[in-house]
Amino acid sequence: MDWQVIINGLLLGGLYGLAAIGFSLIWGVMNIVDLAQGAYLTLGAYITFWLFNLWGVDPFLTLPISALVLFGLGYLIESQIIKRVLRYGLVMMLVVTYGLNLLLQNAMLVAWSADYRSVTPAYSGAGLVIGGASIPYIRLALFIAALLLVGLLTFFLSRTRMGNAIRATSLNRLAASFVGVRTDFIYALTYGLAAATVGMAGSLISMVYTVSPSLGGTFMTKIFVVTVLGGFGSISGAVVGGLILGVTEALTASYVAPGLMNAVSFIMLVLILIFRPQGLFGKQFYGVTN
Amino acid sequence: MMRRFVIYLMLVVVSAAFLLTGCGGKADQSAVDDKGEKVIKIGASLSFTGQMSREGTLTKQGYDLWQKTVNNAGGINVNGEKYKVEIIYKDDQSDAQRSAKLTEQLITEEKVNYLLGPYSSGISAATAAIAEKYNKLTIVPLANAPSLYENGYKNLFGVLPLATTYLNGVLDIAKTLDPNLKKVAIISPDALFSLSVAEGAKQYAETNGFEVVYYDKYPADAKDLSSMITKIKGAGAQILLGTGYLADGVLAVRNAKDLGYKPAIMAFTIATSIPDFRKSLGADAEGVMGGEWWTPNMQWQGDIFGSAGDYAQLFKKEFGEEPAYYSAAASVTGIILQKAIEKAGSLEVDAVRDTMRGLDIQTFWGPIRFNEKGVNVGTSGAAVSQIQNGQVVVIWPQELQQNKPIFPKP
Repeated sequence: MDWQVIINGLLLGGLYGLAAIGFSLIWGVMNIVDLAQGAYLTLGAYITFWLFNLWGVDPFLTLPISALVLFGLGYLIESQIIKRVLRYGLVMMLVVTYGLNLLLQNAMLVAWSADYRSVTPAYSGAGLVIGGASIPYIRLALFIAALLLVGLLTFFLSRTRMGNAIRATSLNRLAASFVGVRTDFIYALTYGLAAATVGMAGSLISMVYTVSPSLGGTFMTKIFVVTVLGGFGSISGAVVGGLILGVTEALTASYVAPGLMNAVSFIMLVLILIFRPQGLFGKQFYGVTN
Repeated sequence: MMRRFVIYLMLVVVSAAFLLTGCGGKADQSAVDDKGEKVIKIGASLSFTGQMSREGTLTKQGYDLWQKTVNNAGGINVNGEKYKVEIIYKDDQSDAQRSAKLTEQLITEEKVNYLLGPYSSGISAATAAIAEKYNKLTIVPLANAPSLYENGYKNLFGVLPLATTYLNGVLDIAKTLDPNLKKVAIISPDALFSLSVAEGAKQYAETNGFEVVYYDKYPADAKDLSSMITKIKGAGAQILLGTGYLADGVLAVRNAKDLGYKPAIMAFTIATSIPDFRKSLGADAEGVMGGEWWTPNMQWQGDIFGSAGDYAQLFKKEFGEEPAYYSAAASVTGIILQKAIEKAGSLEVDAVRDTMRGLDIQTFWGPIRFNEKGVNVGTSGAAVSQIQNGQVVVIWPQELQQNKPIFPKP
């Protein structure tokens, strides 16, 4: 077994996992398939790119800024747009979030053009070598940052009052409102939180991949697979799902054929849907697990 | 009741069919714009978003420059009457099916008779089929997968030489640099054009004494090539050839750096020719080689834009950057259409097509002459350029060389 392949897969999987958390959270709490997540990811990547490019801000320091901006945007979008269409059901939500995605993506295209850009800090490309397998520092840092963010979010959801309110709302909105949870606010908060997470994922991704308005689109399919794998609404599930997908892709690319990478991921998706539709870690009902 | 409905339905279908054939057969040749000038409408479905948006934008710049130049000169001369050019653009989002739909829309709704090609072989294959169905002329600037020209389409004309020879120059120059360079790795996204280049490069490498130690394709939208690069590093390849588009090259260079893989030569089909490649990679782009179908220092001359150098100057004045060959190829498709219409003295598709078959003109791109399949055989083979100190420098063939190659890649 080639360790390098496994390491590549794990490092990639960490990013997949982080990118999928927001999507999973929204799906779990609000029961919305949010297709605009790809655009938020791209926006996060651009925030890092511009801060790094214009003022030389270290890409890792741009994470909080990315999170704040996207939280604000997410909160605004939920409270102004999504809230108004929520009661029209799943299909309408698909249309609205798809539209939002198009709108944001094309706005970025107009504002920043289709040019490929990348964030290349001085330490990019450096890495350590363990037993013949090289681990780039940046990817390792991304992986750790991804795990930290997941830890923080899990702590927030399970240990804080606000987090408990989110979980309560996800279990039963009506019942939560009976016991005094402001569910409107909780929805906006959740959406903002999800946008912030995927934005930070975008910021991290900008350090390894090229940034262009279409960046989020390619990640969207991965996010989908990861969420189904891990189970809707499960944060630890999203991470494990991400790791599984990352490693599967790496193994397929190395030992089967790189051309079949996507095919294998989607076969996995179909199998999971047939045999364990709630996902590996999801529960039968929607809800954030810890 | 039911029967009556069916009869009505049939009536609607039949009349719709009549209407459609009517439109297809005797479409308006031209229109008159609001200033009372005669206008030739030309359709172009291009990728402004999606995976190939950068290449698509460069192509549009080439079309725009031609449109502006020809309109400033009064327009296209058809038997003494001047027609202004109007290019109608649609965004195909780098998606072949979408491009086919848009092309059909351009033909049936905008009533265009001429189509300037989309970007890439894969997408052109889809639109060419539509144009053939409606008997409209397509000139593609940047589609050169050989299979595209094996369909027997009579309305398809391509500017570039066939893709298979794209990276041969890199192998030629490798031989002159170091006779010990033997091991070649070839990676290709799963796309029509890329696979033909890869196939061509593999054959050329094997017949020229190289050993192809790795040869595989990956999904066109892959975001990570670490696993492939790991394998290639393990196989000890000294030359890495990538046959993808811009995003693929950037990805490969970054992944190679992350994994500490340093081949002596790294070359990509589409990399050096687009400024974003070096802007995006900075110092990591240093020493990367790439194929160029056209460079501003080539010695070609034509009557509309002057020499290759003149074209580059005009382009720089208009867009603020050096022209890449994409834009140049796009401009030349315009010239071809213009010359064919003027020579035919008619706007009929059939007349213009027949004139194109016998066309033999000189342009800033090089001579234009089509073979029976519609491929331009006026020029052949691609030059090789390299990024040196952030600048693109032509290093092969010898007679175009601007600077000695940097070897091995730093």
